[in-house]
Amino acid sequence: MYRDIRDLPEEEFLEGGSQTCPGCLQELGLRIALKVLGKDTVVVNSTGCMTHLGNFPNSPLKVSWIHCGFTNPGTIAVTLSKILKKGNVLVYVGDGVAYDTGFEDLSSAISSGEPMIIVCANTGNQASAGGEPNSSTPFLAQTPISKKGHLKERKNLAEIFAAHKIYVATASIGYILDYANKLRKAMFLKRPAFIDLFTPCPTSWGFNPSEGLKIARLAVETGVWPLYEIENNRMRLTVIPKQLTSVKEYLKTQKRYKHLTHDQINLIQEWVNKEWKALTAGEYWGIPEY
Amino acid sequence: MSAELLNGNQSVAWAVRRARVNFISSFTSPFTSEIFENLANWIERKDFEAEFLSCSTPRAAVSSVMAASASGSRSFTALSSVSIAQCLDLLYNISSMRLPVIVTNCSSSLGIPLSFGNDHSDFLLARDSGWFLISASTNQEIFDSILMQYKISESTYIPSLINYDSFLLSHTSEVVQVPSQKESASFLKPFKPKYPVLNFDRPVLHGVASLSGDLSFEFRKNLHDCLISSKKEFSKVHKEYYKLFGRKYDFVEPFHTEDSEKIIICMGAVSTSFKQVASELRGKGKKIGILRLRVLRPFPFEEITKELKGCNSVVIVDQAVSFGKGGILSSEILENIKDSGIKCINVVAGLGGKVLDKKAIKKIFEIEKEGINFV
Repeated sequence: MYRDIRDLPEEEFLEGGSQTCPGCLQELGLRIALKVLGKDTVVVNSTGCMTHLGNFPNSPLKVSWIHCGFTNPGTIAVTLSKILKKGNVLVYVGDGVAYDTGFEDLSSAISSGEPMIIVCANTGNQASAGGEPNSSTPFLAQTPISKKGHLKERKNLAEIFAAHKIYVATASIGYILDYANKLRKAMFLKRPAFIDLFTPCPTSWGFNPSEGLKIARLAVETGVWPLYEIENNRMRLTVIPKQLTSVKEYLKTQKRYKHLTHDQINLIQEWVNKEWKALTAGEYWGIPEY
Repeated sequence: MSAELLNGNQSVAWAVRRARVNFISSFTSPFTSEIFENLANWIERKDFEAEFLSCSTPRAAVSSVMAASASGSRSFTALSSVSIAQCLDLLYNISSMRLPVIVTNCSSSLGIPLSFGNDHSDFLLARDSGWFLISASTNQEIFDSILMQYKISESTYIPSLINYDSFLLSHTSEVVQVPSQKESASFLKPFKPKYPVLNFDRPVLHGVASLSGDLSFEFRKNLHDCLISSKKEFSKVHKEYYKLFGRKYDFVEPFHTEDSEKIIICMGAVSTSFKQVASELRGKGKKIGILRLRVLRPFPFEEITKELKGCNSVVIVDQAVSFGKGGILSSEILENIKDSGIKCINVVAGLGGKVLDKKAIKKIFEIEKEGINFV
């Protein structure tokens, strides 16, 4: 277990020269994952923002990488895992693939029981397509197709994958140590594991690229994105803020929430409070997460 | 070599076993389930050693052979009708990733009303995907094509799609000469890939993007050039196979084309019925020949032109139609006969599994009207 950020391995497998947007936190998520998993790792990607990392003829990657379409990361991972003698298979996909287009595929891949670590870099929209909503988009967030805000509840993917009886965790890029420890745990399980990683997207959410990590931390401190892990059907909160900050502090950092009225902010606050109360009481199944 | 009574699907399974395929992924459809049942049973009984992955969708099956091939395994899967239509983008990906995968297609019709009958609509969907396209006409040819195509694909790094007709071949038994494991091993050596994705000491990226259009263009042009230049490799392997096993294959299969006034061009299992009817008619003095297309990509332009020399008219029999245009094979072959003065008759027949029996074939032989005809 890493007790300090300085315990993380120094070696880098993702270096400069990538073509992602300034302040991209999905890329940071991959960088940390590769630090933890090390050299003997193959990354399975599905079409999305991160596909630009393998941009012929340049690439910042120093590990093997495979990408083929946007519906099949799970099957590719199962196949490689079956053939692989030693090493890790890291499935690094966006939320569009994990929540929607590749959902069936990941579900059947998990059922196969082959060891793989699935990380969903969650921006809460189709970031590479322009920020259109999908089933990971939070309630009332503005999207290019709806100026009034997304009117559907977010699908709780962590709960769905937890029902597959595997190790499931949520993580935030603002809490790198927590994320790294969850990855490390997943690596030694030698079974499928799923981590839903919260990665604010400066381009589609509308904030200054330098503020991404601050927003990722605020999401945890306000209870919008609670950090927990589920093992053997038991949920455990891994980061518990002493007192929840008001969600207003989190919402006002992003342009996608600029349109919210006072009542709507209160509605979100109520929802988050209710969810947090249940989580701290140890309840997990069936809670509608914000 | 031993003679076995095999149907098309069993023939595929035996060829996969004899080719010592390392990775098999399955998505079963009513057309192809027998292939995977045979293979899985052999693997369970330890008659044959391979990884077997049962997939939930055809896209998963194709993705899986893609990944297995990228990691250096000889891999195989089988598709049919709707399942190949669902995988079309992946077929393009595999050919442009230059992975020598072999996929068989049990061709049957697409669309509503749903029909289990046999036509070539599904196979010809993959026409422009950059794969080698082989159309077999007998169960023996299915077996031989799979062995030969593994050799050709693995030396050229271009995948092969081998088509055989549903029911006419897939569920009809014939005697097939199956070489022993030792004999087939002398022909087909183990696959050693150049850039396996699982070599961690030498990381590689498979399936990259390229934001510069110029580079993407070069890749696509390169694939086209490689398909054209691979014809030499085909001829070489065909010759070698003939020497070892005594069965001769070529890009096209002519049947009495040398002295014929009328030549019927067709593809797939119906060609055997066409040949039978043609022999009968030739006995009565009619000068009719048959030209069966075996390899559709790389397209055998010179071979077809050579066989058509001296004839007055050609009848191109299509089992697939491009709605609003006409037969697909006929538009492929038109270039061969333009400016030659040969009369071109296009017949679209057997769509959705409509039976092509002796009576229907005789009718096709008698058509004289130029342009498109439906029989």
